[in-house]
Amino acid sequence: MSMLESILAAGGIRPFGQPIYDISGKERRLYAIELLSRGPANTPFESPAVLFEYARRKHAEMMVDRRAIELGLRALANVRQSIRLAVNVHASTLGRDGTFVAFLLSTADACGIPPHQLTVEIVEHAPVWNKPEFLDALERLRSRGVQIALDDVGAGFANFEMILDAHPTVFKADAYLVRLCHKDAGRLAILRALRQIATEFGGTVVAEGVETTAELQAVTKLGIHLVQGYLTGLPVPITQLVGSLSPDLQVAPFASHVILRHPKLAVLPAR
Amino acid sequence: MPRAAQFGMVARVLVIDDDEPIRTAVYEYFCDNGWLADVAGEREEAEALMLYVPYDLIVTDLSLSKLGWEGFDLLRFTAGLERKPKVIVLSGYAGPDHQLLAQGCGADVYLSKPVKLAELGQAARRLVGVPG
Repeated sequence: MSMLESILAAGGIRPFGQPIYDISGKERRLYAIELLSRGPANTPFESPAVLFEYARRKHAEMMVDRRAIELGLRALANVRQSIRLAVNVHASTLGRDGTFVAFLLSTADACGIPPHQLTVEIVEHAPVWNKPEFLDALERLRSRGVQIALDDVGAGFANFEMILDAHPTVFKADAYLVRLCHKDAGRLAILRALRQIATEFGGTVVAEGVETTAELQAVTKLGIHLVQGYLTGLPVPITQLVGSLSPDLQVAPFASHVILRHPKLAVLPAR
Repeated sequence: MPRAAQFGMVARVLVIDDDEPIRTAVYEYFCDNGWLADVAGEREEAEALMLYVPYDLIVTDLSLSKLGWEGFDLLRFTAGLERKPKVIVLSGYAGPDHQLLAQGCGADVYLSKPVKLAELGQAARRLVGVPG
């Protein structure tokens, strides 16, 4: 069995999730859960970097994107609609896979997840993709209420051209910009500018890769209040993450806020 | 300095060969001798692993036609990595031309097949700095 077959087989992709928090208030609130993927256990492909590098080199990112989303959404089936769920999709998948949008929406629907609960995080590692199809796919997602985010802004191909094309409402500042930003005037300047750009686009910034309280304080001082990283929550298997949600989640389907078991946590409604 | 020698970590090796029995035998040998070993039977697999896993050592054949690859291209790929691993070439080509060319492309050690696994292991330990 080739590695690609192993990845696409049962148990080949294991869905993980990492929380994104809103720390603008006195209590941090869960803004979203980002669905992440880990490859076959006990292999180097557990690393998402290796997993997706391999998928891209095999030109199989469409298949792997679909499989990861299918497994992740299934694991989150019927999670309260107040929790936003962010899924990663290659720009090349959106540009080349004409049925991807329908696939995403029907898979979500089958799992009891409405479109307005979803965020599509665009990731890209290559400049070549079909731009008209890509833009059309984004428009179809937006028209159904799906939020568009741009992942890893400031790194690779998540650049100004992509910002202008994709017109995201969530700008996920790459961890490279956040790392040790409290000690680096250059990084702070870029993050400040990014926040301003996001504001003028009617959007907001998520600081990725926040690992220390010093970094957290620095981004907060810049007016960036959505954070993700090891400091606020490690990626964990989706089942574990769902298991940590309050039992109220299951019995109060129309509650607008859901309290997590962690002290001082609440859930923001999807916007 | 190789990662293993520098930090006292378990040495990590990637075995690449388009001959499945040889690939498996070499991989098993390293596993049995305390190395953290991975094996790649596809070009894309090898490339993805080398880009993101900090290997101390790559053991590869020069003839990788079943992988749609040339051993010399693989050597150039490893030479371009941010942190270049040591490379041992296991080759059926015994001539000096291939050896010189491989070393010019970044091979550290060139062993002609057939090679005893113990001989390979000794060369690997010496190259990476694993006492043995």
